Amino acid sequence: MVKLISSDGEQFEVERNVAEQSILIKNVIADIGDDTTEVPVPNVASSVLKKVLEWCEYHKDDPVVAEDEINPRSRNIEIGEWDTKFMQVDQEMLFEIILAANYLDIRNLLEIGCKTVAGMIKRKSPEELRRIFNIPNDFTPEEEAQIRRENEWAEDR
Amino acid sequence: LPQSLTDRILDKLDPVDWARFAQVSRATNRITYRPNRWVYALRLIGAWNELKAREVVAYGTIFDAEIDSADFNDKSVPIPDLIDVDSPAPLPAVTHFSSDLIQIYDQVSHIPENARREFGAIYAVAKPLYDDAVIARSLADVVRRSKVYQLYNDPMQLAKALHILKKFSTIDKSSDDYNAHIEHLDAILELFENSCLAELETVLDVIDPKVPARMYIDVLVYFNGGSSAAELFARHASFSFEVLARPEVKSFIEDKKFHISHIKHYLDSEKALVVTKCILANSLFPTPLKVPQTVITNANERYLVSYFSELLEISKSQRETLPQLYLDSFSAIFGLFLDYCDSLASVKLEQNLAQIAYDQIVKVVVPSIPPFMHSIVDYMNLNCEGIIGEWDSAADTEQEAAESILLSNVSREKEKTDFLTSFKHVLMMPVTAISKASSSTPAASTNDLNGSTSRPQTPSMSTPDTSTGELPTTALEAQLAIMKTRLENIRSLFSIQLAMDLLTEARSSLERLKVFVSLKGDIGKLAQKNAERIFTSMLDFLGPRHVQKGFDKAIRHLDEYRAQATMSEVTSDTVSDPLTIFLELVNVGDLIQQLVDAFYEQELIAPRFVSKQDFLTQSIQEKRKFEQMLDESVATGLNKGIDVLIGTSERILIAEQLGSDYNPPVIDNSLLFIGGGTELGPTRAAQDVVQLLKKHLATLDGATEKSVLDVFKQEVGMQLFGLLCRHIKQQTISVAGAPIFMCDMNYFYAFVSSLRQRQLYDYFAALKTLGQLYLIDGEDSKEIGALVGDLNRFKGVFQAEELYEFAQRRADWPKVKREVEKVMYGLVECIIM
Repeated sequence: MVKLISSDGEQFEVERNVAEQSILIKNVIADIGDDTTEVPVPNVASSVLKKVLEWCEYHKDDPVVAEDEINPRSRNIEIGEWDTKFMQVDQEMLFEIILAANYLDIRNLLEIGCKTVAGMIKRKSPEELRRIFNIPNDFTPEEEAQIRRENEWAEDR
Repeated sequence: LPQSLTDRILDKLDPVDWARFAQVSRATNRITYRPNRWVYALRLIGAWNELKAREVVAYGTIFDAEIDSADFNDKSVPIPDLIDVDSPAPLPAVTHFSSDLIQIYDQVSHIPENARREFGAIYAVAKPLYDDAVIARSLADVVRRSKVYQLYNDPMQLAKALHILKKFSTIDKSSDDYNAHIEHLDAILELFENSCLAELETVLDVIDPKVPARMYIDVLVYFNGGSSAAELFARHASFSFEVLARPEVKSFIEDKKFHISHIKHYLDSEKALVVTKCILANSLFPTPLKVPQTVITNANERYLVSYFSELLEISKSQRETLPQLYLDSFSAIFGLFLDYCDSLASVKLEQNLAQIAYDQIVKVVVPSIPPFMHSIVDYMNLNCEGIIGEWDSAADTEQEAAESILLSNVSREKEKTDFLTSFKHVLMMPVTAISKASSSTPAASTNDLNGSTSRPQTPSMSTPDTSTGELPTTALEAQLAIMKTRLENIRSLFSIQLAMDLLTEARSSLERLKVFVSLKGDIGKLAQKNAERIFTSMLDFLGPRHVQKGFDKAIRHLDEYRAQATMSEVTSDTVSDPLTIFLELVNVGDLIQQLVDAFYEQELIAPRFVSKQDFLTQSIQEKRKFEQMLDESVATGLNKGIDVLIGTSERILIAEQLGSDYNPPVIDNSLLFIGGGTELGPTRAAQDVVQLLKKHLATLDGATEKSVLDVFKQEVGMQLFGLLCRHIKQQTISVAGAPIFMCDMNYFYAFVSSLRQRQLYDYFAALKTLGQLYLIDGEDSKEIGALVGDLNRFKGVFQAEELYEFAQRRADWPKVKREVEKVMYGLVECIIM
C-alpha cells in the first residue's frame, strides 16, 4: 500500500499498482526505497487526486502501454464508454485532471483528457468555441475580418 | 492550459478545426498559427517534400552565410541595419494561388512560414473535388459526371489529379464515412489504372507502339510506379514469341547426325524479337523498372530454357550408342546457345541482357557438364588408343609382309613364327660358315622362281649378287635385306601422320571444351582442368606409347644391325645408312616436338585453357617430360650410331689391313721403300674407313642441329682415335713400313681436320708424330728411347707407358728393346733426380 498526500494534506491509501500508473510516483518509490509508503503530491488538490485515483483504480489491470505506442498526433479521438462518463465533469475539473495527469505522468489519462477536449472543439464554429470555453473575443474588428478571410477555406460551402 | 497541452489537443483535430480555433481569440490564434503545425498539415496531404524543404533550408543558410562573410571581409562597411537580422531572409511571398489542383500542389514553397496559407489554398481547391469524387455513385457515373474527370481529360493530368486526391484523402480521416470514401476513391483509382492498361494493351498491338504506348506508360509510371504496366508489357511481349516457329526437338538429331542450322535460325529470329522488345521496353520504361530484364527472362523462361534442356537431353541420349555424336552435338548446342547469349551483348542497354540470358542457360546445363567433360576425355583416350593400336598392328603387318616377301625367295617354310629363331641362328654362325649354313638350310623352295640360284652351290657372299635390285637369294642376304627394310622402317617406327592424328583428336576434344572455358567460375575451371587432362593424356599416348616405343625399337634394330654386321663381312656400302635413317627419326621426333609445342601454344594457351604465366601446370610438366624423353632417346640412338660406325670401321681395319702394309717384305736391304712402281699413299684399309666415315658424316650434315652434330663428330673422332690406337698396337711396323704408316696417319689427320673439331687435332697430330717412332733406324735405338720419353712431343696425348707399347710394335723390337729401355729408364731416373 502507498500513502499519497495531496497539496491540501489529505491522505489517500491505495494499492501500489494503482499508484504506480503514475510514472512520477513509480519513480519516486523506486528512488526512495521500499520502506517508504508516504508520497507527497504537492501539485494536486485532494478533489482532483481523488478523481485521478478513481481512474487509476479502474484501469489498474490495463496492460502497460509503451511510450511510443501512444501517438499524440493520432486524430482518433474516440474513447471508451467508462472514460467518457468519467470525463463528464465540469470544465475546470477536466483541465485539472489533464494537468494532474500531465504532472503525474499518467499517459493514458492525459490522452483521454486531451481527446475529450478535442471532442469539444471539433466541428465547432469560433463563436461556439468562445461560448463553450468562455473565451472573450479580443480581436479588433479589422483583425477578425482578416483572420476570417485567411481561414475562409475551412468553412463549409 | 499550458501551450504544450493545447498543442496536444489540437494535434487530435483536423486542420479545419485549427482554422476555426484560430479565430476564437488572440491567444488561440497565436498557438494555432505556429508554422510547424501547418507544415505538418501539408505533410499530411502529401504536399510537403522533405528533400525540397531541406534544399530550401540549405539555400537560406547559404544566403545567410554570404551576408556574414561579406560583413566579415569588409569591416569598413558599416554594419547594415540589424532590424531584419532575426527575421528570415526575405522570401517571395505567395500572393496568388492557382486554382488548378495539380499546379497548386507544385506551388508549395516549402517554407514553413508559408505553410499555413498554402495549405488553405490547397484545401480550398482540393476539398470540393474530393468531396465530389467520393460521393457514392456508380463508377460509370464517376467517369461521366465527377468534377475531376470533367476538369482533366488528359490521362496524365487525370492521373496526377487522382493521385493528389488520394494523397489528400488523409485529411478526411476523422470523418465518419472515411472508410466508405476511401473505398470509393480506391475503386476510382483502380478503374483508371485498368482503363490505362487496357489502352496500353491495344496500342501495343500497333505496328509502331512507341508514341502512344509511351503516354500510357508514363501515366502508369506516375500513377503507381509502372509495375502493372511493366507486367503487362512483359506479358504482351512474351506472347509475341508464340508466333515464332520452333523447330521440333526431334529434328536436332536425325540419321545419326545433328543439325543445328534450323535451330540457329530459330534462335536468330528469337533473338531479333527479344532485342526489339527489349529496346522498346528500354525506351518506354524508366530503368529502375527493369522491364527489359523481365522481358528477356520471361521469354527465356517460357521458351528457350525448356527447349534447350530438351535438346540437351536428346544429345545425352546418344551417349552410350554414339559417343562422338553426343559430344559434338552437346558442345554444338551449348555453343549455339552461348552464341545467342553473346549476341545479346551487342545490345547496349542499362542492363546486361547477355548476362541474364547466360545465367539462365548455364543453370540448365551445369549439371550435365561434368559428365560431358568426363566423356570428352574418355572418348579421346579411346580414340587415341585406337589410333595407336591400329598403327602398331599396321606397322607389324607391314614389317611382316616385307619380311615374308623377302623370305619367300629363300623358303616358304620360314614363316614369321620361326623367323626369329632362324634369324638368331644365322647370326650365331661364323662368317665362314654362312655359306654352309645357307646350304644346310632346308630349302624346300621348289616352286621358287629363283630357286636355282639359291642353291647352296652358289655361295653368294664371295660372289655378290650381280643383279642388283633383284630379290635376295640366300638366307643371309635375305636376313640382311630384312634388316635393311627394318631400318627403312625406322621411318615408320613412328610417324608424323600419327602424331598429327593424335593432335587432331586432342584438338577436336579441346574444341568441344572451348565453349566452356570462357565461362566464369567453376565451369571454366573445370574446363581448364579437363583441357589439361586431354593434353596430358595425349602426350602420354604420343610420348611413351608411340615415340619412345619407336625409338626403343629403332635402337634395338640398330643394335641388331651392328651385331649382324659385325658377323658378316661387309663392305662400307652395305652398312647402308642406319644412322641417316636414325637421324631422320630424330628429325621426325623433333618435328613432333615442334608440333606439340605449336599445339600447346595454339590450342591450350590461345583459348586460355592454360595461363601463359603459369609454369607449374601439369601440362607444362608433361610437355617437358616429353621433350626430355625425346632428348634421351636421341642421345641413346646417336650413341648406338657411333657404335655402329666405329664397329664398322673396326671391321674394315681388321679385314683390310694386311700384315704387310706396314711391314713390307724386305727383298733387298737396299730396297727400303716398297716400290715396284707403287705410289706412296694411304693403305686401302685407311681409305675405306675414311670413306665410310666421310660418307656417313656427310649424310648427317644438315640433318640435325649443328651442336648435336658437333658433339657427334667429336665422339666419332675420339672413338676413331681409340680404335686406331688399338689397331696400331696389333700391327707390326718396320722402318720400311713407317712411311706408309705415316701416310695413313696423315690421311686420318686430314680427315679429322675436315671435321673442324679442334679438340681432335692434338690427338691425331700425336698419331702422326707416332710415325717417327717407327721411322728411326734400329741402329739409333737411343733416339727411340729418347722419343718414347719425350712426352711433350705428343702434346701429352700419350703416356710414356703407351709410347713404350707403341714402340714394341717395331718390327725390330727385340733388337732395340734393351737400348730403348736403358734410355727410357735412365731418363726416368734423371727426371726423378
